[in-house]
Amino acid sequence: MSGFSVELRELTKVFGTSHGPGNEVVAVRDVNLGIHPGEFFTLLGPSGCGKTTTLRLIGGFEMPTRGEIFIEGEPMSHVPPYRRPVNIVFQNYALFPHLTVAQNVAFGPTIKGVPRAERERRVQEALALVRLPNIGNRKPSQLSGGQQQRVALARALINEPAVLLLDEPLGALDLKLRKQMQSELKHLQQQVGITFIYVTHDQEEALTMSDRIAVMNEGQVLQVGDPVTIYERPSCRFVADFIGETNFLRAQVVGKERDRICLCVAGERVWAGATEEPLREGQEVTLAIRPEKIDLLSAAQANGAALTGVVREVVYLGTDTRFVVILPSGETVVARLQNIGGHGLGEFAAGDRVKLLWAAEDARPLTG
Amino acid sequence: MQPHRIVRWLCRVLALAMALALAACAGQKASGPLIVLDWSGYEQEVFWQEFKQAHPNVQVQHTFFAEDAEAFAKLQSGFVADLVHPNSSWLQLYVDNDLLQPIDTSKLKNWPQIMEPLAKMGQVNGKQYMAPWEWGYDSILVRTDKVPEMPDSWADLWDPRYQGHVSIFDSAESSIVVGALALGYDPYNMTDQQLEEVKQKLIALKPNLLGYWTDYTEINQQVASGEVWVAANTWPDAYVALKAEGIAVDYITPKEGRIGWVYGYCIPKSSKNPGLAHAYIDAVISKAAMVEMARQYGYGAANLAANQEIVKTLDPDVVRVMQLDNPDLVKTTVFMKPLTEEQRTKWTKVWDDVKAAP
Amino acid sequence: MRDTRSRLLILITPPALLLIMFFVLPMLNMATFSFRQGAFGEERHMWTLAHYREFLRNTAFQRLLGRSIAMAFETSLYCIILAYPLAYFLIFRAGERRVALLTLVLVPAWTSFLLRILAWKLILSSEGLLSGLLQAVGLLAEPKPVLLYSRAAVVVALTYSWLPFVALPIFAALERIDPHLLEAAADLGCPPWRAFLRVTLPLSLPGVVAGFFFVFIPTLGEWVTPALVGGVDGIMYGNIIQDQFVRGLNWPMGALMSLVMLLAMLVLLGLLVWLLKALHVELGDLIG
Repeated sequence: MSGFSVELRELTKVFGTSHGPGNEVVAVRDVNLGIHPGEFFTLLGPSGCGKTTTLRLIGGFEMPTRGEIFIEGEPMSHVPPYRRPVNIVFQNYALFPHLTVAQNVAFGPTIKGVPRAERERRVQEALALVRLPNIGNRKPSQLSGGQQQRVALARALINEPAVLLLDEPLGALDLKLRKQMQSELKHLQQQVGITFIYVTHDQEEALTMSDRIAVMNEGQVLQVGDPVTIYERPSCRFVADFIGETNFLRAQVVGKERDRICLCVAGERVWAGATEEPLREGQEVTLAIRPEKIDLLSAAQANGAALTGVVREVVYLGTDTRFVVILPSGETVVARLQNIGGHGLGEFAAGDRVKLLWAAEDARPLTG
Repeated sequence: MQPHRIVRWLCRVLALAMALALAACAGQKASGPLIVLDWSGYEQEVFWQEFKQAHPNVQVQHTFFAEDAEAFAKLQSGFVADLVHPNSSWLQLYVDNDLLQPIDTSKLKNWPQIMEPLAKMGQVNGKQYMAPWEWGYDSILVRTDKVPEMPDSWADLWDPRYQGHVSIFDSAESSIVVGALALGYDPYNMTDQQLEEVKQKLIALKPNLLGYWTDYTEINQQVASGEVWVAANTWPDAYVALKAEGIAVDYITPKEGRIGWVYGYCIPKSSKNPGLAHAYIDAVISKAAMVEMARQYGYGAANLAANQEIVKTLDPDVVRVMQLDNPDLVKTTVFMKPLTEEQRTKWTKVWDDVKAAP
Repeated sequence: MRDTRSRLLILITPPALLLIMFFVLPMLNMATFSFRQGAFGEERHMWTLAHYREFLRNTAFQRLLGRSIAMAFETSLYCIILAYPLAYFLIFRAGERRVALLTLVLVPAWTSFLLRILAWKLILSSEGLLSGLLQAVGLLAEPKPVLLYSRAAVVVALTYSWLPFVALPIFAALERIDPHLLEAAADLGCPPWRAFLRVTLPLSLPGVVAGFFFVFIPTLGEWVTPALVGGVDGIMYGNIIQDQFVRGLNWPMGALMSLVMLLAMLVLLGLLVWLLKALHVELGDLIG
């Protein structure tokens, strides 16, 4: 219809309707998404936010309570999984323990009746694709976690689905392996060229791999955008808080200019970047600014729009140093300075009076 | 406490306990207990009343068995008993295996009342090993209201009109005799060829059979419910019991003759109280005890005086059925004869082959 | 090192002794008995192969063994056919009530085995439930025992008695199946029936096999049930063994027949295991 690989319209899923109105759980609420073909799209959010349910709805393992699902333009809301051009990689891999690796990978083609020779060729191809060429005769129980995960991938990809769904596939791996697999998955997706819909709660993973991210909480999609937009210009407090670290300060709108807004924070005037949302003078907002965007100067030095505060804590982090500064209003601000030259470490100590500075476009006023 | 002191203390306690036990045993040696190996039902005090009155301090213990083979096996494997109550047909086997001691009939004051022919059945090689007690028949019990025609011969069991309503006792001994009589052979003098024919005949009976009955409650219930019309080698107590319930039954005499059996009391060699055993036998063969037995079970009594009493006081119908007033019954009845071990083994094998045949 | 070894030895000795005293030695005793002439007296100490010759000659006994094996096999098969859907329903449809319902299935097993067989005797008798039912429907003209005193009665009564014992291992095997596996099968193109054949069935097979053994082994040696409801047709191998020991006083023959049954059982079970292993490889290609 509209060139989307997967489109969700007002998708809603309610659990527990049979147990009475008091026991219902709305897992997914009015979700609207349009995912482009060949995109690496991530659903990101904390546990219980509805991202896995959304994925399962796309896969056909749950049926929507309301709303519609379109895959490659075809309505698929109530089509069972075995008739959707979609394949899934489960969190625990779900490899068939009674079959060998080769038989696992060949499962999809076997069901479709692909003749033996062709089947074996495709299995070899799939295993080569995930770089596990020689383990066809082993059983899943004999493989490591990373190997199992790749077999699960091969088993899904051999069917050449239009969309591949991945449900937190790297969750069970150790850190180093995870990082390696993130990179591999990304390259794999680019090589194969199909749409990947990826679910994770790890925001760093999402930022690394995705073309676009949808941040979800309590069943709703809060913001959709590419990693840079999500990170640099979060649309609401939750997104700003969930991704990376953010300082939130109480602020009041004082005035507006063409591309920046003047706010009063803790009695002082500071600048923030303008947003599309119209703001009135005197409106109460939240100023969001990331620690690494804040620069510290000694109180004596700075002038102009800046906050004043007292350093309470200094934490050395190797590449950066973290400074926790208290404002006169009692609010805390965290700043991170890179340890370059004489900056960062050793520059300020607890008890020092400092001024906090930032570029206007690095700060955002949030209403939600 | 240290281990070796505990052990020493334990040993002393054990020794003391053993001494006490021995003393207790020694003290009891003079008076029983009297161990009676018997069929369930005969332990009632009314049967050995006289013994109880004469020896009130002797403890009488009854141990039950359900098959003759069971009693034999028990004694064979060393069970100590003062009395055993087998079928006279097993007497030869008992004596051949040296399991019994002869009964001194001079010690029994009731002995003169025992009928001569029955007493003879309790003798082996001229010695009296068994005091006969009860006797009766294996015959055919018939539901008179169910059968199209009353049977009058053992061969009628094979009548196809009774198909599915015949039951036969699961016993090699009596069923092979049935087969032999049906074919007109002398059961106790058959050639191997004749025995083979009996086997085939019994296999041929299977389509007519509802099943093999093993205990009398089972067969009584099956006849009462009408599932079985013709019950073979049943005992007279079945007739008595079913008649009491008001069921239309008759206990017939096949023209080849009923099968008869005699059971009695013997004294095993292992008995420690032969004197008391004799006293017990004397009590059970008394007139009073035997009349009571006949009243309860409908079996014949070995005691002639008792028999005469029964004929006078018992239900005349039962008397008729039991032929208690028939002086020729010994001649027309095929009494079970003792089987040698070889014969018994052969017959058991034949019966097993019959049961196993498809 | 030596300390743990001696501790292991001490721990293992009591059960090993029990096993040897109450299992191995009696088995050996029985095996030697089959070579004796007779059970008692001097015959006990005479050795012979006569019983072996007799058994080999006696085709009726051999065929009875064959019939009993067939009946045991039949019973096991029916148990599996009935227990599998039961266990399947409990696991996949009963939800939270599955344990309560399973307990209900097991409750009859807490009663005496004899009582259960006698209950069937009542049900199948001429005044029993089945007869009454058939009369009410018009299929039976007068009170008659239905099925009673036949091979069928034995198989029915035994199937009923052993059903809970077969349902249990199948239940356990099905419970262990990861539900994601079935979702994966659906995802890869299997409609529910194919997912069952390709995933559920193969994974539950160990439970089915265990259940089969649970029934087959005791049923082969049965004699109480045939004695009560088998009539003439339903006589099983065990009845003859019982006869040998109790009535025939032919303990050597009884021992021999028991040994033969044991051997037959071991051979059959070995064959079954081998067959399953061989089939397992092609199971995926054979079905669905």
